[in-house]
Amino acid sequence: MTFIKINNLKAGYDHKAILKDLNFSINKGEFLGIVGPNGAGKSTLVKTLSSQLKPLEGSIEYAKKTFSCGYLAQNNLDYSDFPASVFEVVNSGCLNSLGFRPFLNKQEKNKVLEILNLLEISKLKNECYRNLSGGQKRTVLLGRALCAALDLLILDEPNAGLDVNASERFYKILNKAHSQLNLTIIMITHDFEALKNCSLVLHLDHGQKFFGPIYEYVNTEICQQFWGKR
Amino acid sequence: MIYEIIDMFSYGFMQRALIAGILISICAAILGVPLVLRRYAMIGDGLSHVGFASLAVSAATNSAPMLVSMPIVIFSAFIVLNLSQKKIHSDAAIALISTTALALGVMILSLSDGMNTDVNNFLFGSILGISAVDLSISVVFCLIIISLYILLYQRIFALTFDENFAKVSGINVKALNLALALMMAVIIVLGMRIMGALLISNLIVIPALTAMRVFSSFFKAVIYAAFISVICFILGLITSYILDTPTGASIVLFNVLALALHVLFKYKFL
Repeated sequence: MTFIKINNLKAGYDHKAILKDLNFSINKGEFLGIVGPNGAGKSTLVKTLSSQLKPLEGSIEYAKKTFSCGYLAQNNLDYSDFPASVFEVVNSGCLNSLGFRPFLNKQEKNKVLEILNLLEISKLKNECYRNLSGGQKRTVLLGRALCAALDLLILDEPNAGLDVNASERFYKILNKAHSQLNLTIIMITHDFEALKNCSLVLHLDHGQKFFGPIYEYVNTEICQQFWGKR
Repeated sequence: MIYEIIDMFSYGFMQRALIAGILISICAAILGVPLVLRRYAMIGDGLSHVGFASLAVSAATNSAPMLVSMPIVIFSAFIVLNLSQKKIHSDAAIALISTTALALGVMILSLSDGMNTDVNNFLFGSILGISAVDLSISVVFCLIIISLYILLYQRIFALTFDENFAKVSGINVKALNLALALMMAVIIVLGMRIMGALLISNLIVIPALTAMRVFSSFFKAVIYAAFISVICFILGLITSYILDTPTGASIVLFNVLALALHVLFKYKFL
């Protein structure tokens, strides 16, 4: 079943198109990796998909009318002075199910606890976000995005700035969340190791250069040119 | 000493100052935490200068200070917010607005009545600042602000922590920013008479700084900021009565003292 369908999408900032002629669709439960050189329009595409930007032309069709997505941005929020507990941060991901209610209910609080458990950060629940390590901050922000990702999870270079061990751990947790919560994931990455987690690949360079399953991608010329011989 | 304190609160003006001041301190402190974290503290300072100009207008025209100030300060909050969203550097925009307002205020005062003791009270606060009408206005607006804050609490946290994520979560970021700026404008107007136009922004900034140092959760920081703000207000008010010093200045010094103690305490024991 088609979950998101993109038709002739043109995306960019202030009428300046960065991406043109995008056409693809993804099914529920897929894990799409977006790759391409710097400035190819990867972040522009995910910002458009998560409705931070409006499409300049073309359309994005979602299978559901109310479509809520969780977004994990490229940068850790590095606050030196912000008093916020891990629970509060993850909790703030539940806001898109809030509607007009002022407060979160028991069910949503339980969901936060479940996600903390799934990500193996239950122990950090009352820790202050500003005192965590880079990898822990990533995981907490992933937890917040998971709370918001009722339909779709969008990740923008999730392992940027993490060392090899931390990033391996991050993907282990992400894969666990992917299979347990039956999520659809779209991820930008510059890391071939990370790309191996994906089922689909979209290669961008101001337009769509490749879209298809990963086992086909690795044999294409464009892949070998971009990543070198593997 | 105890008798003296009981005695001073038998005066009507002290009772009014106490009730209005406690409510204003609570509102300023709870708003202060998100405002300081969103780097809006200087906007508060700019608005308080606008408040001074509006007090000058009300003195020159002999009208009720709060009624004149409220629309003027709210309107300026709206302008400052829009300027800073249009990528004009907000620190420059605030400097422009606050110095212009200060100059205008002083001009109006000296042309109308000549500089007199009123100016001192306007700038640094007066224990006699709260009239019976002011008291009821303060109580109504403070209760509105506190309830609005509670209702919007989850969204205020999300916006303060991460504006982009809040946007993706479907929060109307623009409206919420505006609501925060308006609440700040109202608190500045309410607190201006008792705290003084030059010192009111202190009430927003310092309790928040103190609480942010000590607590590791946003909720606890907000509650503690309100608590410490009220304590410092009461101590400042009593000092102001006994020593006959400007109320605002006395309260500010207690707030600074509290901050200093928290810094020392934290370095020594934690």
